[in-house]
Amino acid sequence: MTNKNYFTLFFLCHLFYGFSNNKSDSILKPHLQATSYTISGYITESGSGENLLGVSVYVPELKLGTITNDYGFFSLTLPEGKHEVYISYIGYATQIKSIELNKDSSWAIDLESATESLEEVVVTADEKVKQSKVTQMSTVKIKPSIVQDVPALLGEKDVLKTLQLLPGIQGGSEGTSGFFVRGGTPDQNLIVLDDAVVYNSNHLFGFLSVFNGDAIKSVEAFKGGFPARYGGRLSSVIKIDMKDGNKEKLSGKINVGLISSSLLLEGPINKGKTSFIVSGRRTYADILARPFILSETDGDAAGGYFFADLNFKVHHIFSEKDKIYWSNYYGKDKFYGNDKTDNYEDRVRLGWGNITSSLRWNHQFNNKLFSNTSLIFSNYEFKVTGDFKETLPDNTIEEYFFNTSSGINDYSVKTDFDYFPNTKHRIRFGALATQHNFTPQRVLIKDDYIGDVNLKQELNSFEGGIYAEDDWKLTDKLKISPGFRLSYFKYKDKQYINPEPRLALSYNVKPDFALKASYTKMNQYIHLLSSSGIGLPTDLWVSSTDQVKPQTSQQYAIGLAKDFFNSDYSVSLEGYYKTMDDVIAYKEGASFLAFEDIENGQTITWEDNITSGKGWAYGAELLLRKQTGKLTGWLGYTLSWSERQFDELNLGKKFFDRYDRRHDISLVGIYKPHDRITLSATWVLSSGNNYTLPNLQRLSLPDGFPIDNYGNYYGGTTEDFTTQRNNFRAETSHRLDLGVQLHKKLKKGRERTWGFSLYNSYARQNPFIYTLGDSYYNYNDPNATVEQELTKTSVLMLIPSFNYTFKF
Amino acid sequence: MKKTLLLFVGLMVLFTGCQKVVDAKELLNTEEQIFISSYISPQDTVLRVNVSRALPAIGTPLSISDHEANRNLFLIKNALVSLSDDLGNTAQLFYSDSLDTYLTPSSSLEILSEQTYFLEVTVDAKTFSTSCTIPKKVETINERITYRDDMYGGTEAEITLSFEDIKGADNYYVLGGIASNTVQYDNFEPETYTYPLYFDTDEFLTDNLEDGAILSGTTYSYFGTDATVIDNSIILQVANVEESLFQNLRTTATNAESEGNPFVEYAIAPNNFTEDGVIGVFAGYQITEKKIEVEY
Repeated sequence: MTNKNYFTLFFLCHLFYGFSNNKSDSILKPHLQATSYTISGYITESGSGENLLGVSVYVPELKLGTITNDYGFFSLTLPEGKHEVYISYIGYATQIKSIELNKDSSWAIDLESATESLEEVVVTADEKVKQSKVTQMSTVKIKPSIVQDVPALLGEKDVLKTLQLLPGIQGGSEGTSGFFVRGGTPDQNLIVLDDAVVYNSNHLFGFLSVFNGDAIKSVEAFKGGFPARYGGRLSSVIKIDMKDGNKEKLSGKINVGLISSSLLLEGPINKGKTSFIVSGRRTYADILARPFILSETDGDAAGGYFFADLNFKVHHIFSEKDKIYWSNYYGKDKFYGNDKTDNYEDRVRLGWGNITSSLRWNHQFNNKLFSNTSLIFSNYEFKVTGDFKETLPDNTIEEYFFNTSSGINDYSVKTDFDYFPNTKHRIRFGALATQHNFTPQRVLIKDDYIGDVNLKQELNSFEGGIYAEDDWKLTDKLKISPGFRLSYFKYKDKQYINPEPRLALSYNVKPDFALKASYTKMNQYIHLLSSSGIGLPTDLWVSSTDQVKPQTSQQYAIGLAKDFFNSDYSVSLEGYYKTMDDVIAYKEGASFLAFEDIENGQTITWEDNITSGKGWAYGAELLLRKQTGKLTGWLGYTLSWSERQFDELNLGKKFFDRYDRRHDISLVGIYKPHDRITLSATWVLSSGNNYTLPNLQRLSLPDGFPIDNYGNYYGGTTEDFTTQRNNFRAETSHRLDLGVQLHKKLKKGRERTWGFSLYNSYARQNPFIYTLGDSYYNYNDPNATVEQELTKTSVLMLIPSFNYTFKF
Repeated sequence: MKKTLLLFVGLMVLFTGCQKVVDAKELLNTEEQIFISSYISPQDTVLRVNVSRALPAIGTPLSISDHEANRNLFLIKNALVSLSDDLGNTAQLFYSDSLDTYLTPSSSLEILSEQTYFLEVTVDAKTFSTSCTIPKKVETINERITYRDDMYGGTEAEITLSFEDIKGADNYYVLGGIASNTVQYDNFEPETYTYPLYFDTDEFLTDNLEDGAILSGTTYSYFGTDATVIDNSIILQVANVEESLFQNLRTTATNAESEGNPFVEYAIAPNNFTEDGVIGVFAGYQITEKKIEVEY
């Protein structure tokens, strides 16, 4: 047996020891050995019936508690007797229930929003979900209200950009929504929307994300210490849950912005039983740009770009124990252009988008066992079509048509169980099976001249996993969370089976101060081939194959979490060290943006264009956060390093990754002096990204080598070259964004909000791209000289915007 | 489409962005270096070492009309250059004004397979040195030619070159060829056209998948029909080269092919000098050639 297998066996034994050892555990408090009963039930939002996840249900006297799961369900086993149970959630009025517990009890609790509560209520942060109280580390939660409150580019509230303001989650280039977690790459982020994987989370070539926040209930990001229920990516899990829809009354929201408008409508189909929510958004960029394009091209050309989103969800309650949710997302970006002259016309379309659909069934077996079973479909497609027609002088017509596409379809079935055997354990276990259908390239060409081409590359693979994890309260001070995931992947005859042990522990030095540590091993069986790293639609998802191994990572993290109960501040400090094996990258000189090849119908073997190597990422993250009161916000700081080594890149020498950024600082403040105004500001500072630029030029002299080569061909001219990959670090970026929202309550519970924001308010010229070009010279001056210059292009300076929102 | 896309991006930049020339010296190491390249082989008739300056790619003014002045910015004509073997035999190389390089006849230092050679270059009292080892020669080249009519009414020859990898070492191969056509048009003297053959993605091969494997590459040659063909021959070439030479040729080719494509990472130039202030490649190779007559 190898060391790896011993390690795995240790974790399994440890886990099952925990299951079986509940009753005889000598560290059990005496009160738990008395007769105990279970309180279980659901916690929902008053007025809408929306299930609330992550709500704290806590008995201070016993220091026992739990939190609701993703569907608002909780189960808490307590000794017989009188207890005061605090039910609290940030932004909601805390409820205190006094109970005489002498039998199992089922609760249905409505929590009232703090702003709408008529009584003088205690608004506290959740005792149970304080950072110092949970075993989990390297996790951040964002409430959708924060997404709505922070200033946004062009007024487009964006979940992923808000996440970039947190330590350890770094944005890419200026203004883009692609993100990098703890030295990983964008494809190492698992983004799940209601259990469905979203493969491309970008709109507008990466400037905006597909999540606009209107229909979103919660966002949770895991950067490390991954629970065993998550797998398939190395660097992060971004879990986004959609609202279920208002079960009590029809309500909605209209938002009109500078570049897009959105509409949200939710309400009961069958009051108290069935609800729906639908949310749509579309941009007007194409309409705004059209007059400019027409005038610049004398009417010969037309074109434009737009994107649209549609979220739709239905929730139905069959009984208290059986519920279903049907969630759907459709998103599309489209660029279109037409050119026409006397004898020539072309029509080109470029489009990409996601479709996800998940059907989930909740079943409560008893007051301690809850399950969710999901059927999931996820699709991403990128497509380019071109139709060209030319009339030759002899009036013959030549036509050419091409259609090229790439994409992925996933079909998954997943089941998850939540088991609350007693107050010391919360056990989760489950399984996932996914059939991946990749189409790296589909080419269809109709050409009068060279003939027709019809090519399709397909990769089909199967990915599965089983897991078990326990959140185990060993003592009042020590909690551990052992977990184990066994992942499986099959491509043709090649199979990969990999154990993934997970462990997190937390030790409370003081009630409000905890030391934490975690270890995770992850495997990633699908990969994104990206030429740019900024989330362009041409990025290509591919499968592990017999030649391309799965990526693996191991991450060690240690940290501390301190809560200041009286002032509602919390601070966390974490350090991490992550190793990555078999990460992939394009070989030098390789690109999948070779449209010439597509038009010629030549197939590109993607496996030949990539190379695999190793990665190291390490750093520290500090987060000081205030979540309640009139002024909320946080200060985040990240100090990090990210390195790579590939045998076939940089001559085999180690190099800093493109997004290796030494410092990231974010300061976020949201001030609500009263219910009619929200003021917000964010200030961010980031070290520059790394690029490879030619730093030297040499004279091309014939080298005497007998085989014709470029050195001989270009003999006598100069040739740029570079001596180190990522040899250039861009300038440091920083900016201040400001926002103000003016709210007005109207009759019948309606509300109107005017929002104004100023992106990059002091017009800092942050680098977007750097390019090399020749300096200006006078062509007619024989003594003129020319030299290459480095030009920085900056975008998004001092961008004001406004938006109008009407809720009803 | 391209015009529209550029216009769209242009409008976006116009309304929201700006461009500014920045001082690269603060962000990029642009120190001038000495650049040396030399490839030696037992098949050479002359030994050659190029010695020049590598100047900063950014911020070096070059004349738009005086190309000779530009060349003189790079060329180093007063270097001391010598090659030697491990038996102590040494050959001095001298600057050739006509070829802008340092030369000596191959008879001045015998270059042998699997032997190590040393290069020493002194520029401005600084001496730079490195060594190379001549790899083994590929013994036999095989070819397979398939003829088919091309779309212009001529003939296309698909030529597949194959050879056996030399066992017991990591080998790096470069494939090439030279086509030579002698044709005669009516009422004209015969003319000979010579042009290189390219193996595209097969140009650079390694044996990293299997030691001793049969490696192959494919190229194409075309023949017209509007002239009398007197002779049609092809020289197929396989060079077994040292890794640094392989990397240097491939890097240059890769960067030239992807020039202007912002989505392609620059390939890194190899360097087998260890001293500061110098960069370059001194490497050995052996070439195997086979001449074949092509049907027409």
